[in-house]
Amino acid sequence: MRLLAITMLTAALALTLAADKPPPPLPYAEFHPAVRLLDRQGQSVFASGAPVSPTATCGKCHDAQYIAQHNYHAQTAAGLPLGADDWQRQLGFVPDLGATAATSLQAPAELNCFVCHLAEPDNAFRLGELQAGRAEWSATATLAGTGLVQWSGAAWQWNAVAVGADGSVTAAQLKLGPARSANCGLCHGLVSDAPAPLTLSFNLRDFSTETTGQVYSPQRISDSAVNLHEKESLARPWDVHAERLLECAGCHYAPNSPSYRREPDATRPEHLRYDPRKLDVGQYLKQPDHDFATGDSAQGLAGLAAAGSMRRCADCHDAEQSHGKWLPYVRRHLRMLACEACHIPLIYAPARAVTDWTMLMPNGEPLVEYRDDAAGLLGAADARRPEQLLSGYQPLLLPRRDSEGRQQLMPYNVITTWYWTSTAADSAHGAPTPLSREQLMHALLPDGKYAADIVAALDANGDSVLSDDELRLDSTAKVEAVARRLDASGIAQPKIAGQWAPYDLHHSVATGEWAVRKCAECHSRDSRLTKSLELSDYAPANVAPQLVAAASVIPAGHIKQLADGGLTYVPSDRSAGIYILGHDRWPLGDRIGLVAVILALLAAAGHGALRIVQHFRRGKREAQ
Amino acid sequence: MNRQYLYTLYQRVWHWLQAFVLLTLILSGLEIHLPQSVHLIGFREAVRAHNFMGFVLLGNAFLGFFYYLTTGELRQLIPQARNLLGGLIAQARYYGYGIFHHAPHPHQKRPESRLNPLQRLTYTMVLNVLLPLQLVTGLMIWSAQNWPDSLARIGGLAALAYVHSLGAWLFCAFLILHLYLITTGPTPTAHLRSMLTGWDTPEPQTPLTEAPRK
Repeated sequence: MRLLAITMLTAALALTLAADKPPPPLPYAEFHPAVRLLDRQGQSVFASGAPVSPTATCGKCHDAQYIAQHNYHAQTAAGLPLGADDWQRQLGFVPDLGATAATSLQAPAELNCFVCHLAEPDNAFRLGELQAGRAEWSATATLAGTGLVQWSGAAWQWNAVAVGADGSVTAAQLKLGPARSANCGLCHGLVSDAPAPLTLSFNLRDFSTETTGQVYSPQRISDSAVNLHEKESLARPWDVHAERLLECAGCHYAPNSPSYRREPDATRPEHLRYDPRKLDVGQYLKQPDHDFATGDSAQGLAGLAAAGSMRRCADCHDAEQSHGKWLPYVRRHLRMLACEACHIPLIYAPARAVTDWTMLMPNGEPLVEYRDDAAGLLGAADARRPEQLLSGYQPLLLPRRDSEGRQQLMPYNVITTWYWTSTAADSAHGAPTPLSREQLMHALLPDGKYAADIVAALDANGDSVLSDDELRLDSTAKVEAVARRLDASGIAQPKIAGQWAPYDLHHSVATGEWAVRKCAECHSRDSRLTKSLELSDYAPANVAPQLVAAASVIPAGHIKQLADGGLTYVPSDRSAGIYILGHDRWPLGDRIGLVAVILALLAAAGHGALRIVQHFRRGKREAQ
Repeated sequence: MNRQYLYTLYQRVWHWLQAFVLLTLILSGLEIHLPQSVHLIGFREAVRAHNFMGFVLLGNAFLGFFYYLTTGELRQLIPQARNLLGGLIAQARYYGYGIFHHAPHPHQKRPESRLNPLQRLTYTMVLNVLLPLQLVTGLMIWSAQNWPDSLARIGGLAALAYVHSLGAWLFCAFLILHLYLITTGPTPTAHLRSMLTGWDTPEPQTPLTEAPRK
């Protein structure tokens, strides 16, 4: 009887607890009907065996043509050619992108809806197909994880076992639903909500993480697998917005989404605070605008027409209310500083600092260095070593002008790129163009091995193996040797050029507890607002790198060459029109004032001393 | 010895409030200007204290101006053109020579003429130029968050901060000399006592340098 009572009590308790706990979200949209996977001819792929066509499949209900036309992602992918020359020509800077340029930006045959709308798309297979030149199969490969299709070793084979009689598959089978942050992360950077300890890839596939160190994950940094200094004390998430369950689409929303739509300030009548006229859900799902709201990124690679349309911090947070309790001059601070300037105080994942295409590694990759405040610039091999303790870096604060014309200080990482240029006789206007990887490979690694004269010039220790340090063109002799080699391989007038590119930080956001709060961090001689950032620890051929054509950054500072040959960017708040109390002074005014005070003190002390002396003298005289 | 009532209660309260406020402003301003060298109450609290005391100074300045204007006491702060140079020279000679030889003070303090010519000139500069300059620049720095555009038109925060800092240094120099000159009465504490009690003991043998006002 007692056993029965205990059992019932336990069961009741378990039921109560279970009732309190919300069920985990489904990885697919419950309401989405089953779909027939169709090829380009509109036939079921299970019958034809042909690659799936996302536009034919999804286009049955959704307006695929509209989506393709309102989709800067697709236009970017289709419009960007490959190769350093093209990057230089179209974007004004040499690709730091390396692998990304060669893979994910290769023009796909058509939109691949599955990459973003499947909970578990198989991106590795997708990229494999793109790299293999089978772009038409890339969407099919994305479905590899569903069990509906498999790679036989020679071809993709559809598996009709789990398919309905009419060839349809359910949304649950596909795990089909709205795009999640993890989908965005497949191309944009490291996004993880998995319970497994987070690891870094050091790969441009995680573009944003590689270029800035940003990570979008709710996981506590102390629980990650990244080997950080004093990691046990970092009991904060990689990004607080990820921890609070925000998806990328919360800020980078579809402009015509009934949930998120808002009239842009530029077109909104001044008297209209809220416009209730919106698409109904059915209309939206038929024609969802994929020109997602976006910010003002420094490089402005895509979505330029939508720049500045996204939901910014102030659209959700009342910063004045929350900061006004403790921060003097709150409006001044909020006007001069982007929220990110304080709420991204430190980036813990190493970000790329240098991409050096002046010499290639044996695998054809450039020399790469990562940023680390404790260790300085770390070579790629060192940064990747598991036993290497990383410490992250403090971002550079640069003034930038946003799309509304407002100037604010924003945190940035800076990547310096060194590369060879050639002035070929047939080049447009005789302008030097950057050498492509293929040209460099042909000249420097003709048979997959370094040319003998290159080894002779660069092999300082004579072991016939070129180490990372030896590959650096940090002396005139090395530069001349490589230039001769390039010249001999038909490259006209090879010259080294350099560029530095700022990459703005908006993720890896910390809560107020971890943000910059101490006045002295900014209002002091060593203000973080003017902290310099190392651009490169060497300058090939003593070239001064030029700022890429990044419209939004105001280069209020200068590049300083250090005694060891390295280059540092020294920001100047005064050049940016910013005056920081406690940091900035008028030295002449202070000197004049100090002299006045000293003179007053001397006058008082001298006069007083004379009066005392006279007083005693008179006392003596009167005594006599 | 005839004691005379030189400073009314309001004048004394005004003076000591002014002294306290200026001292607080100088110390908090020093911490804001040199946060790495001066540690008193912390940067944030220094800013708050500086702002608060700035407004107290502003209020006190207005009240003082109103008082001096309505009571006619303002005339005491204005240098009199008549015999100004002679008075200045006499006062300078006294500080440079006479004071060491117990020479009589060239100016006899009276309720209707408390300040010697040198003091009148100094207070004219301090109260009519330096103090308003500090108040105006301080107010504009404070208002930087509300009207940044109008601030930019006059050279931005930097120009204001430069002027405000220099003015603060000059105020420090003035205060040092003011504190020292307190000790130049018949006894080192005589002037201090006057400002505390309002009663002053006239110095002996004080020939007139100015014609008494009718």
